[in-house]
Amino acid sequence: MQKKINLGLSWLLLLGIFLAVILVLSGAILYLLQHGSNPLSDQHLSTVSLTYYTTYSPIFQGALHFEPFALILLGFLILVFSQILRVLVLGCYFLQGAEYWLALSSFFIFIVLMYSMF
Amino acid sequence: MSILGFSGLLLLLSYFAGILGAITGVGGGAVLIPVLVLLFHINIYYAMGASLISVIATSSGTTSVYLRHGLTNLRIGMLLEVGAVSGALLGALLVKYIPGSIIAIILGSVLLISAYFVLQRHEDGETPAVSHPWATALKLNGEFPVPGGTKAYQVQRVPLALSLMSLAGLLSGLLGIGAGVLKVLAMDQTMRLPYRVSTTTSNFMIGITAAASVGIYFARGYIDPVLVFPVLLGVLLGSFTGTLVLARLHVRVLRIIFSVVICLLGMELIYKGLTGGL
Repeated sequence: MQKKINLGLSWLLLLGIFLAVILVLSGAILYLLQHGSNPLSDQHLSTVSLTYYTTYSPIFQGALHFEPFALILLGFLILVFSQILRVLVLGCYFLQGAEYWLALSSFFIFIVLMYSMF
Repeated sequence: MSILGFSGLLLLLSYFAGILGAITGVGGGAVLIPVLVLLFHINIYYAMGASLISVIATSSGTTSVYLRHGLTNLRIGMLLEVGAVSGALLGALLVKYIPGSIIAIILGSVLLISAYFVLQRHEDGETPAVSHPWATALKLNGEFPVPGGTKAYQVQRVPLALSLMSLAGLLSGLLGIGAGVLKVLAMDQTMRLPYRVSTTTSNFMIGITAAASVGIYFARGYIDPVLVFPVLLGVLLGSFTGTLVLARLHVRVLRIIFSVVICLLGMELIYKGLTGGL
C-alpha cells in the first residue's frame, strides 16, 4: 500500500512537471523569438513598476491565444496545483487507512493552500 | 544585457541551485535571491517570487524521484507540515510587530552552531534507540534503502520536533528564508532520522510550504514570467541531476555540503541583521 501511494504521488508530480515544462518551454521560445534580442528592461530594476497577470481567467484566455507570458504562467500554476493536489490525495489515502490524525493534518494543509490560492 | 543572455545565465545558475537543493533539502532562495538582487539588480519582490518558483520546482523534481526510491517519509512530512504551515501563518500576521533584525541574528547564530552538530553526528556508529510513543502510534518509523537491502530507523522526540517545526515556520514566515534548512535540522538533530531521509522528506515538504505563499505573490503580480521560465526549467533539470548526485555521494560528504550551506546562510542572516537589511 505504501509503495502504491509513493508511486501514485510520483506519477502525479511527473504529470505536473511534464505539462508545466511543455507550456513554459513553448511560452519561453515564443517570447525569446519576439523579444530575445531586446535589452533587459528597467522594469525589473530597483522598483516594482510593472505587475503581471494576477487572476486566473486572463491567463487561460491568453494561453488559448498563445500569448507567451500566459503560457509561462499557466505552466507554473499547473506545477503549483500539482503540489496542492498531492496533499488532497494523501489526505484521502490516510482517511482510507483510518489514520485520522494524519488525514486531518493533510486536509488542514489542503484548506490553507486553497485559501492562499483563491 | 539582452533578455536572451540574461535568461541563459539565469538558467545555468538555476541548474546549480536545483542540484544543491536536491542534495541538501534546502530551497534555492538562499542562493537565488542574493544573486538576482546583487548581480542582476532585480527588484527584491520579483527575486522572492523567483525563489518560491525555485522551491516548488525543486520539490516537484526531487520528490517525484525520491518517492520511487522509498526515501521520503510521507507521514513525518505531513505531520511536521502542520506545524510549519501554522507557524508560517502566525509569522505572516506578526511580521509587522516583531523586529526582523534581532530574529535574523538569533537564527543566524543558531544555524552556525547547528553546522557543528550536523558534522558531529555519525549515523553508522549509532545504536538503534526505542522510538517515541507518538512515532509508534502514528506509524512514523520506517526504513530506507541501503546497498544490499534496507535499514530501519526509529523516530525520536516527536513533540519537540513538532514544536521546533512551528517555530521554524514562524521564523521563516517572519524572515522569508530558512524554511528548508530548519526542516532538515529538526529531522536530523531532533528526530534522529538518517540524513538521506531528512533531506528527501524536507524536499517533499518545502514545495507545500512554498505553495502556501505563492498565492499572495501571484495576486500581487510579483511572479514575473521573464524570471519564471529560466528558473523553473533550470531548477527542474538541476533537481533531477541532484537526485543522481545524492545517491552517489557518501553521507559524510553530504553532511559537509549541508554544513557549509547553513554556515553561509547563517552568516548572511547575521550580516543582514547587523546592517538592517531586513
